[in-house]
Amino acid sequence: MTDEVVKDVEQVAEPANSIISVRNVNKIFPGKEGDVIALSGSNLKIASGEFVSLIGPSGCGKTTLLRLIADLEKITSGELLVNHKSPERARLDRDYGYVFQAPVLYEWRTVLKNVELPLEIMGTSASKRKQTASRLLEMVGLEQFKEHYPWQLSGGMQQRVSIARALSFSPSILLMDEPFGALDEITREQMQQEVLRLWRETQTTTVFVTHSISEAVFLSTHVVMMSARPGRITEIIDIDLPQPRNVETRESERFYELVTEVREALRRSEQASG
Amino acid sequence: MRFLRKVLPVFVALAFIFVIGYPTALLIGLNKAQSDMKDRSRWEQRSVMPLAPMDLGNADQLPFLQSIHNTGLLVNGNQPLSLSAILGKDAEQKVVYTNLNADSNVSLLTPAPLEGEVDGQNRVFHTDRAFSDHPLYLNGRLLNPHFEKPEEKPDGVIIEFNFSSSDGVFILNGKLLVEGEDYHLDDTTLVTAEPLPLWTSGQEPDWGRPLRVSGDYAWADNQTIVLRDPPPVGARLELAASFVAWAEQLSGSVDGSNRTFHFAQPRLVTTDRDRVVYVNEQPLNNSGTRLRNVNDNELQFGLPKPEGIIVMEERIERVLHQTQLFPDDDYTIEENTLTLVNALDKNQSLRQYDYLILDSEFSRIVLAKAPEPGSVVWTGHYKVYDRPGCGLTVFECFVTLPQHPVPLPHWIITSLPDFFINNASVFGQIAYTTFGSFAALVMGGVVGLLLASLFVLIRPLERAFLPWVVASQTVPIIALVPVLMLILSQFGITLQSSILPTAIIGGYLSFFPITIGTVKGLRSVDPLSIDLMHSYAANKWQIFFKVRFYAALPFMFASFKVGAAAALVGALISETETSNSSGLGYEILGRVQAGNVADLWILFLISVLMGIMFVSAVGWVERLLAPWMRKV
Ligand SMILES: Nc1ncnc2c1ncn2[C@@H]1O[C@H](COP(=O)(O)OP(=O)(O)OP(=O)(O)O)[C@@H](O)[C@H]1O
Ligand SMILES: [Mg+2]
Repeated sequence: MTDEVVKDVEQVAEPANSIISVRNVNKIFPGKEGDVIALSGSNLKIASGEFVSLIGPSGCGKTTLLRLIADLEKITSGELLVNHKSPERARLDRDYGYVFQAPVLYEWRTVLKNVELPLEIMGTSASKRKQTASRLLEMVGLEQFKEHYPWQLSGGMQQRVSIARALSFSPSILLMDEPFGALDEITREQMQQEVLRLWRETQTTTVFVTHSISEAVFLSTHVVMMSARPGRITEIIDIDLPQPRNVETRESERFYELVTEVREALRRSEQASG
Repeated sequence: MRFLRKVLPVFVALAFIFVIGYPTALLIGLNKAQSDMKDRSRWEQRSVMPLAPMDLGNADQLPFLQSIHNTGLLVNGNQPLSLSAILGKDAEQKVVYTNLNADSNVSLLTPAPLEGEVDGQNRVFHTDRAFSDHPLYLNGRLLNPHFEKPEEKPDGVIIEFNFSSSDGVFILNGKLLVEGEDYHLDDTTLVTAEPLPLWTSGQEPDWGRPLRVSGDYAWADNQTIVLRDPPPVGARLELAASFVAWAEQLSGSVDGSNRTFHFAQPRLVTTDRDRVVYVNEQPLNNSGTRLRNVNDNELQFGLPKPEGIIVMEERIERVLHQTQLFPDDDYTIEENTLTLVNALDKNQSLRQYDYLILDSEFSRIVLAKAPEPGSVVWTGHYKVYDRPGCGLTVFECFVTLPQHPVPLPHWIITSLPDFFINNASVFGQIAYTTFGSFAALVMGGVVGLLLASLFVLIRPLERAFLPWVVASQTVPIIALVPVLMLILSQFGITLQSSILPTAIIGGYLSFFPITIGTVKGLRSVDPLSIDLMHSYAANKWQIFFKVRFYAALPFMFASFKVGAAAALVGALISETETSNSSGLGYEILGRVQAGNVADLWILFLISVLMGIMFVSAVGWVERLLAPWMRKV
């Protein structure tokens, strides 16, 4: 059964210039009450410039997969390449920007200084830093809040700051873990629009974790289905909606078809895992 | 409204101090006052002293300071006083008065005349009255009577008498010895021209020996005074002929059969076994007569007087134990012989007394013979206990307590201006201690931050050294200070020459909370914010200084507040070192040694205020350096 699925996956996603390549990756967290298999025999290839969404039930290993790609966690077995290098190399080369599930802003830094932080670490000059950070804050609509401290911002605003921060050093890969979880529906749609615009403009390969099927379909070029216990990739669906996507896309018939398809695929993988 | 909200806590704190302070002060103080009132040793003890003739001449009234109910006045000397209830006179013209009131005035007496020329050479003076213990005044100055007698007793053969020094004139049997004629001196040895006659019993023993005048003067006999140095021409030499002394009439009915008497209640007078009891003018035998064995057995003793109280005495480990024996039960008397029922042990002896003070606590006296109806039973003495030294009521005693462990709060406040006027130097001391504490905090801060950083950066170091850091705080600082001073003095560093010892000791106390707090702070970083730094490929130092350090700041400031208080304590402790003479600690130690509790409380107050200032200063720095912190 599993083998079939894997075959299936390999047939679907086999781009030539895969920028992220996951091969038979296993991740086991050892624990006192038995090991937790967070990822088991996962395979995934993401080509440059793609927008891939990970979707699946809670605890199926989405965050774990992102953390493995980001080299914040080491794989237990298998092969993982990021930008054709080991994840560690990619991390040290600052190939990706990571937006966590929570905003993780440094409370002793103003909004501007938070966005400047990656550049500061990379040794960019102060003026350049400020210029870049200001531009990004403008892009996420927070230019008036530059000098505020994080606790003076709403949860959604904080998340926007953290996105701006992840983009500040123009990484070639953007990893986003449920960035809009805390947002209301309208803001969320605005942010989706915003992310799409950024993606198109910067051509950044994006891996995006979400619990929302419609969000995944609207944003992605591919939607990756995962199931829990053990966490694994069950199916990958191509989203052939035309670019650029906008309000009309959401109302198109194809959009609904794809949403339904993803939902059914999810249900299938859920039943498969029992 | 806003002002009120700022000021209110201060008032609440003050009210709290008062609410706690007064009951505490009273609780501790009244307790002490009560025991002070009971404590007879705290009563004012006065010996009634002879007054200088000059004083006597000028004043004719002597005011009594205290209640003298139930006491009498014994006057030795001349004119009777214009008071009623004269009890009688004796051969020495002692007059006993009784029932004087608190505001009684007693006329004083004139000095006795002295005969002898004051020509700058004469040193022998006479009086026609017999005295041997009355004071002598030279130009109104009380002279010190003293003489020295030799070890040797005259036996009609020896002529050499040894004194401890040769300084002073010699007298023998009321006569001044003439050097060269009666004796010559061989260093400290008096060599008389002729052997001195044998000393026989009955003769006055001191006057039967040669005496050396070692004080200002000495009585050669009871009518002759010999001065060591002849008074200069025109000098006024006077003898106080009379002096005032207290006597006490004992209570108890004098009906011809009662033999038990009591000292006055309340007891204003000391009671000791040596006090002489009088019946009218007759002094009773207070030394007791030892009964001697008449037969070989230990049962029969000769009885000197027909009546008397028989007491069996025994010394047990040098303490005299007296047991009263009773006729029929313990002994029988036949003529002049007393026969015991039980024989005596070797170390026991029998004595016969005219009276016996049964117990000093209740001051009961039993006389051997019931006094005749109408006689007066009294004791003479020269010591008087006044009213209690502290006061008449417990509160009076409380107020006049020499030491208030906890003074009433308003006393501290009202004594503040005086304190600062009398101790202007205290401002300098405050500045000194402030500087010391600051140096200590800097020292503790540097060491604490360094240790904490090392512990967090290099984990094995923590495991290796944290136990030592903890152990360092269990060493009693008091024991450590002298050792440290000793070590530092090897390098010429002393409290006088350098602030370093203070800084080290204060730093020693303050680095601990700073280390622990900072380690905790550096560790309490959100792991995700470290992950984020990793995602930027930040190195260890960047993570430390850009994230860990800032995340630790709230903990650090909290621990610096604790450290600031500890630094102050350390500075104060170091200042109590004996060689030191500056700082608030030195002032505190001085007050402790002088027992000046009142000042101590003010110094405590100053220290407390300094502590509060230090801690709030850290708070100000915190607000200045970490403006992002939200107040919760
Ligand atoms: N550090 C860890 N140690 C042990 N187990 C872990 C660790 N991190 C994750 N896991 C386990 O791995 C599994 C996958 O966790 P993960 O956080 O990747 O889920 P997720 O898909 O992101 O869920 P969600 O949608 O709720 O965020 C879970 O069962 C979790 O308990
Ligand atoms: Mg997750």
